[in-house]
Amino acid sequence: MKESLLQALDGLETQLEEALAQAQSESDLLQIKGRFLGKKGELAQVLSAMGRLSAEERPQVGVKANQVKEALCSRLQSSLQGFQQKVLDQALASDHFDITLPGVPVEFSSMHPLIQVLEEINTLFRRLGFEVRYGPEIEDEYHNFEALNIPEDHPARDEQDTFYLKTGRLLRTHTSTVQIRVMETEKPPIKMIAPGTVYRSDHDLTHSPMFHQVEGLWVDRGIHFGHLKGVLKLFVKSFFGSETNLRFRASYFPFTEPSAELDVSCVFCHAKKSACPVCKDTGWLEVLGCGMVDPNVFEKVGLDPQVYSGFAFGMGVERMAMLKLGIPDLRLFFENDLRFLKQF
Amino acid sequence: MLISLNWLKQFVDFDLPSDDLAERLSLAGLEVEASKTLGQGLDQVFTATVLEKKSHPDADRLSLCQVRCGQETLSIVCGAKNVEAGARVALARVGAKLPNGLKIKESKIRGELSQGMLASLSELGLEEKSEGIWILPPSIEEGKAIIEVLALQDEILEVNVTPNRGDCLSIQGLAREVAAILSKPFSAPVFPSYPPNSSASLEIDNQAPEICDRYFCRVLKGVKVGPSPLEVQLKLKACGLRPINNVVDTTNELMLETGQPLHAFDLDQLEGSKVLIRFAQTGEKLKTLDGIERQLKSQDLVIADQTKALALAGIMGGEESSVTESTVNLLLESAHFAPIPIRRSAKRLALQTDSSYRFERQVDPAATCWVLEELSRRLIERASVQEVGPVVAYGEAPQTNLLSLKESEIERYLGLKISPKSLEPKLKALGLEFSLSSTGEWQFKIPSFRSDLTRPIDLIEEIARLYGYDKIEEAFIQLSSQDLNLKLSNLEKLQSYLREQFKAQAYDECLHYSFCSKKLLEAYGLTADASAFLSNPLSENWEVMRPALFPQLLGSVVQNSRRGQERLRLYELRSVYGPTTEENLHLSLALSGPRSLSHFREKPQMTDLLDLKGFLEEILLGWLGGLLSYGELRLSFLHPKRQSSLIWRAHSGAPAQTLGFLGQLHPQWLLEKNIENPVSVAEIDLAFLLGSCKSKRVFKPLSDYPQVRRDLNLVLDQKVSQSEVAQVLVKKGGSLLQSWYLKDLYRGSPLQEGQKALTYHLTYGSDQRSLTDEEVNQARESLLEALKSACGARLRD
Repeated sequence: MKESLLQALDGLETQLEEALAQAQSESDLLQIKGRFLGKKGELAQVLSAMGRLSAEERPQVGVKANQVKEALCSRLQSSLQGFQQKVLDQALASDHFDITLPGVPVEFSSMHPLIQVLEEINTLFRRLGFEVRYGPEIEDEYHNFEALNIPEDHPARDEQDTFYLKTGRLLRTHTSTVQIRVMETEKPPIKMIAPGTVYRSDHDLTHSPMFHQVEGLWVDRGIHFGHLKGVLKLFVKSFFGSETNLRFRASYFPFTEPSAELDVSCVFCHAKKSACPVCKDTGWLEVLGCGMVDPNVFEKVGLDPQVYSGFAFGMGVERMAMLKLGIPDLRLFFENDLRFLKQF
Repeated sequence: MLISLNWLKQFVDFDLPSDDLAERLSLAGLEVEASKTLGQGLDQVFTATVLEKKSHPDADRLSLCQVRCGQETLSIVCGAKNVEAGARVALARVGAKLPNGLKIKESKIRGELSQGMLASLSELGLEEKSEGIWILPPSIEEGKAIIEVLALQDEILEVNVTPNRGDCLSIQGLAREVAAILSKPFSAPVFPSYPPNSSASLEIDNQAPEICDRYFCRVLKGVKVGPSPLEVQLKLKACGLRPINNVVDTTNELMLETGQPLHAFDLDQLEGSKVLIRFAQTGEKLKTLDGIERQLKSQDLVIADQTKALALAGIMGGEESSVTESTVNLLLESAHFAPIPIRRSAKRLALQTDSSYRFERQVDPAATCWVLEELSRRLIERASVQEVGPVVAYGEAPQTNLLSLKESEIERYLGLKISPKSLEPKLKALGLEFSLSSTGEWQFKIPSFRSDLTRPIDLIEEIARLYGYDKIEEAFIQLSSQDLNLKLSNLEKLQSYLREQFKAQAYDECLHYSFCSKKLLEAYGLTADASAFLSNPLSENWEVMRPALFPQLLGSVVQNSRRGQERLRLYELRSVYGPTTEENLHLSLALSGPRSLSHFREKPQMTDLLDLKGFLEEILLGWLGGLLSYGELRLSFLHPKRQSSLIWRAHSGAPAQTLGFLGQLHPQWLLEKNIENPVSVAEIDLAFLLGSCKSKRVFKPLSDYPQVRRDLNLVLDQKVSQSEVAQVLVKKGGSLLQSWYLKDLYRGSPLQEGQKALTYHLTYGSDQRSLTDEEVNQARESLLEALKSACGARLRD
């Protein structure tokens, strides 16, 4: 009995080899596995016969049976791996992937170019410690003009053709209104910028009835023209590039004195002054207006001009964006043509 | 203002190239906007005489001229009507290249030889537009280079004079600036008085002394009106004025030179012995020099005789009393008017003139008198005047104002230690005399022409610009803790949050004008009456402040779709406006076209309202937290079955807050706009979001235990909405139900008519332990029971 069982066990490995030699596929292999290792398979039959052996014989056969089982398992495993490898090899060999086929396109979008530039301006001034403040677009005469030292009948009003509402209010012509609103309610130090939408009733190639401005204001004891120059120099060099030169030109605004226009060296021709359509060969581009807050403005908002001084500046965001992004036509900003918007 | 450098050089001596001068002026606050050179390209242009004029045998409009230029006689074909034998003309010879780019060659015109061209003033670049060729006075010598005989070489600068510098609206005023910039002395010319030789005069009756504080006039008789001397004409043309006759030209010449507007009346058109300065009567009419009859109002100031208005004071003369070829007797006027009334009348009548422009910006009240004397002197020289009456004057000479300035104030504003003394030559050139007072302050005498200098800060500005802005040193301040307010406001946070989300979903940001047409609003059922209308819109398209963003956003959907863009994801984040002062930040988004970009492997899937809804929910709940639900809505432009209002609650049972709406456009709308794909749109009022941001995000520990997933396949009546089921899932799902989603929606066989099947995928889990099958099954079982009783659901077989 013991001998026949041992013999049967010995024979299993050979039988497995024979069966494997016939196997064609992974499923054949599973069948073979069942035949040898299944619940009623060859090995199981041998093991079930073991019950009839004596107590001394049983471990001897048992040891052998375990050895054989392990051998069968590992043989089957390696054979399975062989088949899998073969299938994989075939699959790899027949894969005709073409890396030059187009990838699945992913679309990105971006903020409106004007908003991007506005955000950049905001960010630069935030870094310099300026707080971003907002104010209403529908304003009154007082905040838009009178408090800014532009009384009725002042010729400076000609430069700001104003939209009026039927209610008698107006659409602010500049975001300078926000500096008034802030100074009316807060005490210095005030260090703010006011980005926003403004309106002037003017529409041609270089004027849009709606456009955007960033106004800035820094009021404290001891603020002087040198600080104005310092802050704006930092801003301009950060915005247009450190190679940019700047110059301050005397000018006039009713709400600042002394007043200045700030010019930067032409970002297109780099002040080469030859056939440059942007700076018209002057080498300079006007980018913003600025000046020391006029004492009359301080008096309007109840701050003592003998104690406080400060500077203000204002720039057109469209102009900054056109210069920065090389956009030739103001109207593109408001046409919402995806071919334009997708470029930035 | 256009200024001739030749003219300027009569008042200040300089030899700076014009480009450099332009830059120096610009830096000092007198921005030079353009410049041009006169006399360029005129080297081959000579004075010549037409000897003979015949008509061209082959062309009616052309004539054949024999033209003598010194020793030579040339044949010229000319097209101008005003060419006559004997005329002195400007001949552009072969080889000339004129300022307008025209090259003169010998040629045959309709078979006739032409050896040059008779030029017009515009062809020589001396005026904008000419009629006919330039006929020169016979006194000009023939056969000479025109540039030399007429001293044509000049530079013209266009200076933008800011509204505060009325004193620079004259050659003299600018000469003062140039002198100051170059630290050269400037002395104003002295115009002596011209003694009368007759007693002819009128009486002044000034009824508006508060507006007209000085009025000077004078009678000249026996005047010969005719063309001005050529050099005067050329000077006026170069500065943009049209020569008229010697009298008018002289008033204009002096206005440009001194800044004092002047007027000459035809004395014989005046009735009575008085000249009146009075307000117009309501309904009074006056035909002004431009030929337009003006309806006057009682605020308008006129110069009048006993019976009628003669001129709009400070603005424009009347046609009837204007000086013409037949005028022999003159009344000359030199006056000073207050800026505001002149500006109001000029604005109301839409009549801005060289005169009103100057009065609005302040004219030197001291000039009134001496400019009239100079006008008389020049007219006597140019118009052979026989009788000169006495100057009749109203008003006193202005007083000199004093202004004191502390050096410490200069430093406080400019950050610069400087004494006015160091800029003395420049300040003196501007007419500013100053001295140190006993209190240690600088006392400035302000000349009458500088009405803009009334406060110490005005002097500080003069000092800054004369010193040079470029020389003021930049200064930097270290941040101190008190100016640190680096906090972002809720508005800044919300805007950047939204823009990030839109960017992640490839939505493009649009910007539309804040105003739109009433028609557009009405097309979307918005009652425009409740909106803010502009009283002076530029066009009907921009007449009302928009109360919502979506009408224009849909307009951009249509526009872009017409341009062939199919995949449209647009948003706008801007203010909308109520009828009075309300302004609210809104968000609108629109979606249409394929869900993804075309790719050969993918079958394109069209987006619809659910795409928009999913994204919108995500961004709103991401900011607000809480719950969203959908309310009834009936907007006629939206698909009747696919629209809803959007309602937010902090938690179930909390008060409801309507945030906006969403919907798919009506199929009829798509047909009208010729758009194939569904278009979805939404608009949200962000006012509520600004006030309520989800409380701070706090970290939750990550569970180490496995989750158990189960499907729940329900059959329901068609009428039961998904949200009813979802509510039961939320309320009765049990504490172990961590998340779930709708996996499938099915209608049709083998379900009965009126039924639908919803399959939910449920995820169970716990942070504390692994779940047993039993407790998950139990949880699912009790959920099913709840669904049965609440929604009439049954489990699908």
